[in-house]
Amino acid sequence: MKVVLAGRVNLEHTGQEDVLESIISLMNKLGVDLAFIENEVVCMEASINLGISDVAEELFREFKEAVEEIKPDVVVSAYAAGVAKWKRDVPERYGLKLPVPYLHLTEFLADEFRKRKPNLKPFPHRYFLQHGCTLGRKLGKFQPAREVLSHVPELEVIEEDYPTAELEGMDPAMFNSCPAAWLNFAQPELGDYAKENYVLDVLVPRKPEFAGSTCANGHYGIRQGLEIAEIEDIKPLYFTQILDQVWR
Amino acid sequence: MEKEKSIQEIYNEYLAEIIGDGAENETLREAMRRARAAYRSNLKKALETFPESVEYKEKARKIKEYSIDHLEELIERTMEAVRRNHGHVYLAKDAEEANRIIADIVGEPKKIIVKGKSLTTEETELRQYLQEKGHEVWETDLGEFLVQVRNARPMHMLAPSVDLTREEAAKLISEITGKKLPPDKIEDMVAAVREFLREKFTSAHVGIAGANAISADTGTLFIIENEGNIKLTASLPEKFVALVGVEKIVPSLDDAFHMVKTTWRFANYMVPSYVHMISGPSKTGDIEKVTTYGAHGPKEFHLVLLDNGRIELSKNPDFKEILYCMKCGACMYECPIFWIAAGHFGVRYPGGIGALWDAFIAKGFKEAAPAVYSCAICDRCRVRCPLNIDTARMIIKLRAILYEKGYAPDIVKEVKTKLFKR
Repeated sequence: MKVVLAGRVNLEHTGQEDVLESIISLMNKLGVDLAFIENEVVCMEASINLGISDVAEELFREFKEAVEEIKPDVVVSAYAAGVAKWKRDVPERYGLKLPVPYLHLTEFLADEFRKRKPNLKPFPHRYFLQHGCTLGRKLGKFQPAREVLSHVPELEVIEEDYPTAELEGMDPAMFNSCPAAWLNFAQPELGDYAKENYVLDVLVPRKPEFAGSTCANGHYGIRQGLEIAEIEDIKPLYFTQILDQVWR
Repeated sequence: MEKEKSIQEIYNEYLAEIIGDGAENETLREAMRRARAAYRSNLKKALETFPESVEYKEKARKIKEYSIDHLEELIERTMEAVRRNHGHVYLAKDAEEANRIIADIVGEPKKIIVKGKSLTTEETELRQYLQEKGHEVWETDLGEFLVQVRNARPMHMLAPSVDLTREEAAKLISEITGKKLPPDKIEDMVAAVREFLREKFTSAHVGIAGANAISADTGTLFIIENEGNIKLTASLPEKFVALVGVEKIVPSLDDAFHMVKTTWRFANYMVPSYVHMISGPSKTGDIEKVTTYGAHGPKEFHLVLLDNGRIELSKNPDFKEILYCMKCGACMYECPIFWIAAGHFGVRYPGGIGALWDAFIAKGFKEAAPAVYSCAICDRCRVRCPLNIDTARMIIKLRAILYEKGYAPDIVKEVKTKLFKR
């Protein structure tokens, strides 16, 4: 299977090479033929989210053409914004459509794990999982991450609760707090306080050993928040880093 | 002549405030933690006690969709109904006209005016306007009273002093009333303010308030409150004036009641202490069935409907959802930026939805731009909003307009060159 991994440059740009390495390693273990977009720009989805409308169409068109040239079976990303933008905004605004599905990494791995039933080593730790705002709340994709992590023996996944979710007939993850990573693009000086507050108010009281988001952007927010708040006994760990470690 | 500020100067001033007065203020952050915990706990209790409330949301959304799509027709119907009820009704095209109309109603200077909490009067800066005309104006909602005496601006749509801790409130009220009030006795603080304001109520010439909904069929104002200050504001003075945004109009009494019960339930109340329905001046028919106005309540009832861009906005398919906001303030308790900055996130109206109100209604695109870029577009406000208002979607669309107008911050313009290499 040929997979285009979108968002490589974002991971490099934000210093998350460890996350990138774990994804590549995991894909290799799955026997995937991995390809990347040459000249990919950092987070082209920000062109829409920040209103940089004069270049947005061009960026998405170039991405589409690059995908068409590579001819993959699927485009996969650790970021949720691409999944969301190609689902609705890009077709609606620019009439552009990718020739193959664009999946979030959690969806791709959930499908693969369902087929392969991997034999994973135990990971006996408390892991806090944040459902990325776009992937979770906007797209309603909570189950793939839960399903993937359920394959890891002895892993204790902690999620944020919300007192009225059940009464309102909603998945509590719909109310997951936000580590405010999008502010990096527009008001980073304000964003630092929001990230710190997220860590202090949401993560610390739940006492996890590790924490991560389903979305690599949210994960970056958590990572920065832990640094700013100077919390050392909670380590940032993207879920692919767990999977890569426990792969037999 | 004062030089117009550049967009970057506006950004710098805004960031200095939101960070200096907001994010760096540990007391404010603690106050927000307490408020958030109380909000969630109260909402849980309310939804457990009244589980049917969850179903209010969908109907409320439909009522607002219909009302905003038929706004001009409903304004006409409301004005007819108020006149039929022997009230006076005005449609003010902007804030200045609304303030001028109200100043004319109040009349000669040196009047005592008692006011209920109202975001619409904040939008027009009515208190300041009337004070400049020589009147003595008192905010009578406790939170808003504290806003007035510390010369601040409301930090939340319903809880204007949400940023204050009890310790700060005790200090402030002690200073105003001259009583030494300890922070552990909130009831003593409340009693002190009650005593201070009571004399203002009994001597007031005019009472002013907003409203949570208006029914177009009967011209009835619905006002939710807990303190009883509106009860006094709307009944003791000779004149009662309501300043209400036209988006509060819904077709019928039933619709209006549905909107107010949805508002109070998601605003944090099991049930409010008072819900007033006011349809005109005080009247009696007790002598020979001859209707006579000005019995025990106000002889004059004035409704000033405020447009200020709302009618135009109601015709904008991309942004008309802004007008669905009931100002319950629920979204703010779950906003990651509000958690650290309270109402400093915003200019006139607070929060992400407030940034949209500021842009289209209260302040204009240029002044609202920094707050529009403070939104983390996390979409959590939509989930908490009883009307499912998609603030993040509108923020993203508005940013494209701001960018085209040159109102994006420099850092965003640099994304294009540095990250996109264009």
